[in-house]
Amino acid sequence: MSERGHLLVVDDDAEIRTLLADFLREHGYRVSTAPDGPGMDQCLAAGDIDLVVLDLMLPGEDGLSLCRRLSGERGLPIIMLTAVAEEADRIVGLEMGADDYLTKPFNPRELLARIRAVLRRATGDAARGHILAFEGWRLDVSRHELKREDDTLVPLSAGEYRLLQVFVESPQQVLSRDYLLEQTHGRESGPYDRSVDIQLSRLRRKIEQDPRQPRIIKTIRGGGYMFAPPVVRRA
Amino acid sequence: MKWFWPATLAGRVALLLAAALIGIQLITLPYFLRQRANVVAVDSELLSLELRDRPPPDSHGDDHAELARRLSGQLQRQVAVAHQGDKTEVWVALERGSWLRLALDTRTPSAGWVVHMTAQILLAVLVLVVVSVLAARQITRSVRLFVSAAERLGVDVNSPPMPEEGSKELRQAARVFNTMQRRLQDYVNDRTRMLAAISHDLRTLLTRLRLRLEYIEDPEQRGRALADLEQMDAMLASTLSFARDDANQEQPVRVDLAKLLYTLVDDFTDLGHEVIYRGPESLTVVARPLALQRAIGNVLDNAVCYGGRAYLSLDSSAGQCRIFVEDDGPGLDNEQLEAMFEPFVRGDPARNRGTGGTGLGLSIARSVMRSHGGDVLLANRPEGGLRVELTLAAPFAA
Repeated sequence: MSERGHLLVVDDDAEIRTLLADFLREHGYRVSTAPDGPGMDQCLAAGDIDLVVLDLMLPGEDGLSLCRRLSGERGLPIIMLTAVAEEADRIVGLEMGADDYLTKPFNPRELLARIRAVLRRATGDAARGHILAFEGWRLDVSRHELKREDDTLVPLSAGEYRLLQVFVESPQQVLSRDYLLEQTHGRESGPYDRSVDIQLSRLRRKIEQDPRQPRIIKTIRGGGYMFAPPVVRRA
Repeated sequence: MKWFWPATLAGRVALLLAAALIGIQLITLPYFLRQRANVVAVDSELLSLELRDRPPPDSHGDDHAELARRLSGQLQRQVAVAHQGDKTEVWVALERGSWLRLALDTRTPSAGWVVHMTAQILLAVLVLVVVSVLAARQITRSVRLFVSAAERLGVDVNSPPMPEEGSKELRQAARVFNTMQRRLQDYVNDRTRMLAAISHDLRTLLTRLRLRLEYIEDPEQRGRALADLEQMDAMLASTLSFARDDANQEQPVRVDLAKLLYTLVDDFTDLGHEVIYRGPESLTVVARPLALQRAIGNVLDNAVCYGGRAYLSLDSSAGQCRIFVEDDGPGLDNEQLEAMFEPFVRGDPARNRGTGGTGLGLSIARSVMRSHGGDVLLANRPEGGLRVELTLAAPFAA
């Protein structure tokens, strides 16, 4: 498998570092690990890190402070790992510069999907920005929040969010159902497997004026789907 | 309290002082009246005393014939008594046809002084009432300060401390109050730190297990292990959330409540449950979305777990937002209803239900809804099954 990027996992738990590194390597990434802030600095000095997976609770300098330092100095993409969802809400709210977060214990495949998405954003031609705006809507990809024109939060399920994120990152392109399935959830089976069509109809119900005559996410006959409006990326 | 006993401190102080004043006036009244009687007698002063060489004019009737007759008997002289306007004239016949005329001011003491005195008392009472109400206001203002500080503390232990100012007693009381609040804060913060530590350690272990799961080849075993893990995580999350009182940690935002309910319905549907939603397509409120999601999710959990199928509805009439969760299950005994809100109490006594749950669901839901100025109410439906009403006094967004 071709190498997809160089990741740095920073976590104070040795077992998690090893397990996570093995898992990510199996999925084609080069992985370095560090137990704390100084270790992280050493790895970064060695160079060519593309993305940091950073635990919030670290001995010494904590994850928040490291995160602020990383995003400020180097503009490196960061995925934070936190113990509590509300904590994550606060972190991102404090504009610490994390690009995404996951709550422990997380689904490793979910982490893979997030890594892919963040790397895609970071290496894309568009400038980095957390807000994707379209048709009066704003999708905050670091907070996982969708807001209406009047600043009202419209809650999305995890599946709907992932699907919408894939769409807004490839606007005005025809996306096949297979591509959407792969991008949103890998090929995991089990009770969480939901077909793209169900997610799509739910998403349309939340963002379309008239879900039966969708104007934002259009169905392309024989091809798949297309996110019709232009998307503007803002910081 | 009785009808005459005012509810407010200001009213009571005013009433007591007014009663005291009137009491004092009543006690001194007899003495005052006696004094007044003397004053009346002295006031009947002699206006003039003169010798006349002619008798009183005939126009003088005998207004006081009896008095005149008796005076005449005593003096052995002819006497005439007559009213003349405001004065009374007494004529006494002297020698050689001359008369002594005594003019007395005998204006009857008018009722004026009674009115005067009553007015004086009333005025004093009025002044007293006004002053005492103002004074009591001053005192009760500080009591109200304490009331609002205690209320704020009840909602949020980290609310700002009371200002230590004003009178000596007030400063002292405020200081004691603030010390109490600091101790509470210390206690809560210690507990939060401890819970964070436990949470961190347990989640580290759960994270390891979750990663190891990826290496289990047998899909059935893998699925079961995954389910166990998720149940454990959910129990840990609800216990910690209850203990840390998460409801108050999230910032309120404008959120589309109807869409939030749709999301919940979809999540439950994906887990294989039947949840039917009836209500508006969109309803914007100001609330804490994560907390609400947890509260309503907990109630839905119960409904699908004990009742099989759940009916979710939203109603925003009468300036209040009401969310109903109903099920077709067996419902609960009436005496059980309120006990369900106690932490760690569960509908099934054996605590061995395979569905998991910690018995915290409704406690958390109630704490969340109360933090939104609402509540959670349980009732058995007449047609069977349980009906849970979650109310929300959150301000509606314009």
